[in-house]
This record gives sequence, structure tokens and C-alpha cells, in this order.
Amino acid sequence: MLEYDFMQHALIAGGIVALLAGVVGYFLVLRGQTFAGHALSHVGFAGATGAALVGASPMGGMIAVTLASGVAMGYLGDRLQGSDIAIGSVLSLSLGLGMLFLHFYTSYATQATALLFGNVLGVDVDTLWWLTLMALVSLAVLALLARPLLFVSLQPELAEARGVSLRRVSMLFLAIVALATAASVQIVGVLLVFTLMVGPGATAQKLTVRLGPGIVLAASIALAETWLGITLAYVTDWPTSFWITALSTAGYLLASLYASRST
Amino acid sequence: MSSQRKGLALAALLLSLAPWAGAAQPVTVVAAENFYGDLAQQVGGPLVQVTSIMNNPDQDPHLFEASASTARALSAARLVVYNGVDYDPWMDKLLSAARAPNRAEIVAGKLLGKKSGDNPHLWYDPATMPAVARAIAGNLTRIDPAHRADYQRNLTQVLARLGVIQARVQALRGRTAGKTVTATEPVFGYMAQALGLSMRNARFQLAVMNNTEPSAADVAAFEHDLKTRQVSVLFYNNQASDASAKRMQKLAQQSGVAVVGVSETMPAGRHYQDWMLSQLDVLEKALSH
Repeated sequence: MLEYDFMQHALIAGGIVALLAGVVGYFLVLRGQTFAGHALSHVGFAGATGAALVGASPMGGMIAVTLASGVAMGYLGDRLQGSDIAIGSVLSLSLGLGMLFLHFYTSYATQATALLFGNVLGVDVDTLWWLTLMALVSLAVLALLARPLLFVSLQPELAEARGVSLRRVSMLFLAIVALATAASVQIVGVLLVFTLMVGPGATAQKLTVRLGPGIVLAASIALAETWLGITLAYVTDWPTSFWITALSTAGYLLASLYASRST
Repeated sequence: MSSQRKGLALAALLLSLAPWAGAAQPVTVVAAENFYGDLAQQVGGPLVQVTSIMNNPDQDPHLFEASASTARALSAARLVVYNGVDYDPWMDKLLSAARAPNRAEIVAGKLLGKKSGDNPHLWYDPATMPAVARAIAGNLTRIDPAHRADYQRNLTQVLARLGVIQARVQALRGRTAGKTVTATEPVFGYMAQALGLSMRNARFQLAVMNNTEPSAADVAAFEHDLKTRQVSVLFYNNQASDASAKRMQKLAQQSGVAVVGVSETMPAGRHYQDWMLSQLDVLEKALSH
């Protein structure tokens, strides 16, 4: 199967998205903000349709709105307890706006809505470079942010007392999640991004409580599930999305069983 | 070093065999939609092997995930035919992912000078298929010049059969021109234009096609048209209909407005010409009631 360009690209693009989503997702699960990952993969719809309405690039609109939504979610819900409501508000508003933009759009909007349905089998070389760049930027910012992020996630009161701004850290973190999501969605699709953010992170946290090994484990699980899923899709000719979601859920179930037996 | 040299020798051997292999094998053609595939088969006859990706009228073409076998078929294709105008945006992606330097591409939208945002259902325009058939014949002749005469002969026959549709449209026009009709989706739009039909409720159709909700005013106008029988026919997309479209179909039946079902993708086992002519038959019957 490696003799085909599209399979090589699929494995490389899938691998980059898996590493990025695995690492970002680990923190997302740790903070109990998986809903944010779900929401951010959908808000791009408003950006894409809005940009198409004013004649701008749907992709630019998608990235801008996803990033803005991430920052807004962080600003509205700096404390984790209130964040579901903030995320829900931003998500519903953006879906509503997307519908409004489509209402005003007087022609066929397929070029805007198609952005949410990326396909890992349809990745070209330029996209691979662009994806690599976005992944490196996201991971670099996340590495700088990791220490304060852990501090505010695990001991928010203490962190605040030490003068760390919960709101600023939360906004920055969700901005990274947004960037990672926007970069991945149009390449592998909404479903896959969300799966790879939640499944591997949760599975890793079932298997180890230590941070460093946990992150490495989450990224490795994401990578393994993606490559195995793409291979199974090639062999069976079933959709890639199905295989990766199935592997992700199975991985989590197995890890849960293992964790409950060993305690 | 020696294995590398062996590899080179093998590659050279394969390259020298390639022209023969190409002549003996049928030309592989992939069509994104089955009506273009059918046309390519008619022009190529036994000299081509056609794979159509969208070939099931029961699936919604707007919600489609390409599989690995599709991408594989595209990698091996010598000629690819697809609609364009954002009807099949996954094709652009798959083609750029599965590069093949010897592959020719025909995009119906480009042939006809359409752009993003135009009604994508080009195959309902009587002018589309003759243009695509000519492009297919031209490309097949370039790929496989040895069978130039076959392709030209087939093309002449295909154009004659497509001419039957155009003649039929002209004949119907006398009775259809100026009649007011409506539709749940813009699938039949170009054909309605060619028939001189005056199409109402365009905004409603756009909303259904774009998967958003039609506004209250649009729904009210549509219902008014049906209840007061302002329109003589309702064109109904059999394939990708949502709840509001189904409601309109019911309302039309209750009010005695003729409902003509049209499908986006060609039903299996048909030829494009028969498919179009049978839909025109249904329309004619509906109009004579």
C-alpha cells in the first residue's frame, strides 16, 4: 500500500495530527475540557460560511473564528467549573451564526461546508508542510505553557494565590487547542480530530498518573491508532473515520479494564 | 550497488514495455459521478474500463466519504471525469493526494465556464453532455491514438443520441415555455431553464440544498404557491430530501399539483440518455393532466 502517494501522505498527515492531538488532548482530558475540543472542531463552520459570504477565503475564516472562540471560551470560563457553560454558549452561538450566514448566502455553499469534511486520503504535499508548521507552532507554545498550565489545572487556588492568572493560562491553552483543531479538521475531518484528542489522552491517564510518561503514552497511542486505522481502512475499504474511532474506544475500554483489575 | 543496478535494469525493461502494455490494456477511466462514467463508456466502448465513484441514487452526494479503493482507482486512472463547481470537492483533494503525471482530467464545470457558487447540477443542462463527450473523445484519442477512428465513430453516435434529448427539449418547449413550476431542490434547474419554465421559490431550494433551514417567509410562499395552485409542477429530489421538502411533496399531492421526482445520481443499469428522456416523459405526462 506504500507504493501509493495518497497512502504515504495519509500516514504522514495522520501521524502529525495524531502526535499533536495526542499531546494537546492529554492536557484537555486532564483539565476535564473535552467538550472544548468537541466545540472547537465545530465552530469553524461559522467562520467558513461567514468568510464565504463576504468573499474571503473560507479557510482563513475558519482558522480566525476557531482561534477567537478558543480565546473567548478561556475568557468566559477561566475556572474549570464554569467552563462547560462558556463553551456551550460559544458553540451554540457560532452554529447559529453559521446558519445565519448560510441564510444570507445566495448561491451554493458547498465550498464552505466542505471544509469540515476533510479526508485523510486526500492530502497533498503543500498541505503536509503547512500541517507540520502548525503542529510545531502549537507544540512549541504548549511546551512553554506546560508548567503554569499544570499548576492551574491541578491546584488552581494555590496557583492564583501565587499570582498566576487562571484566565490568561486558560485563554492561551484553548487558543492552542483551537489552532491544533483548525489545522487538523480540514485535513482529517471533524470526527477524527475529536476522537484523537479525547481517546488517547483518557487511555493514557487510565494507565499512568505520571505526567511525562503519560504524555508520551498518549502521543504513542494516538499514533498507533491512527496508523493502524488507516491500514485497516486500506485493507477493508471501510471509512478511515470508523476504524480510528473504533480503535480509540476499544483502547480506552481495555485500559479501563486493566486499571480496574490492577487496583 | 548491484541490487540498485538490477532495479534500474528492471525499471528500464518495464519502461520499454509500457507502450505495448498500454495498447493491449483498456484505458482506465474514473468518473466521479456515474452519468459521466456512462458517457465515457459510450465514447470508449470496449477500449476503456470505467469506474464510477458516485453510483447509488439512494445516497446523498453531499455527504460522502471517499474510500481507499476510490483513491487507488484514481492513482491508476489515465483519464478522470468529474463535475467540479464544488459539487465534488473531495475529487480535487483526492487527485492532488494521488498524483499521476500521465492522468488527464476533464472537469465539466470548467468546460462550461461555470464558477464556484453556480448551480452545480450541470448534467441537467442539455448543453453539458455533448461538450463533455467531445472532451472525452479528444482525451481518449490523445491517450490511445491507435484507436482514433473508433473513438470518433463512437463520439458521432453518442452525439446523435444526445441530440435526441435536445430535440425532445425543443419539442416540449412549445408546451412548457412560460409555465410556472417550483422545486424542493435546484437539481432540475438547468433543464427547467432550457424548457423555458419559470421557476419559483429559488431561496427555499438553496436553503434545502445548503442544509440550512428555509426561512418562515420562504416556507409560507412555497405553501401558498402549492395551495393556490400557482405552480403546475413540483420537482422533487428523490435522493437528498429533508423534512421540509417531504412536507411540500405531501402538500402538493393534497392540493393536486403534479409531483415529478428527479434524481441527482443516475439509477443503476440506465444510460444517461434514457434516464433524461424518461424524466422528460414523466414531466410531459404531469403537464397534460
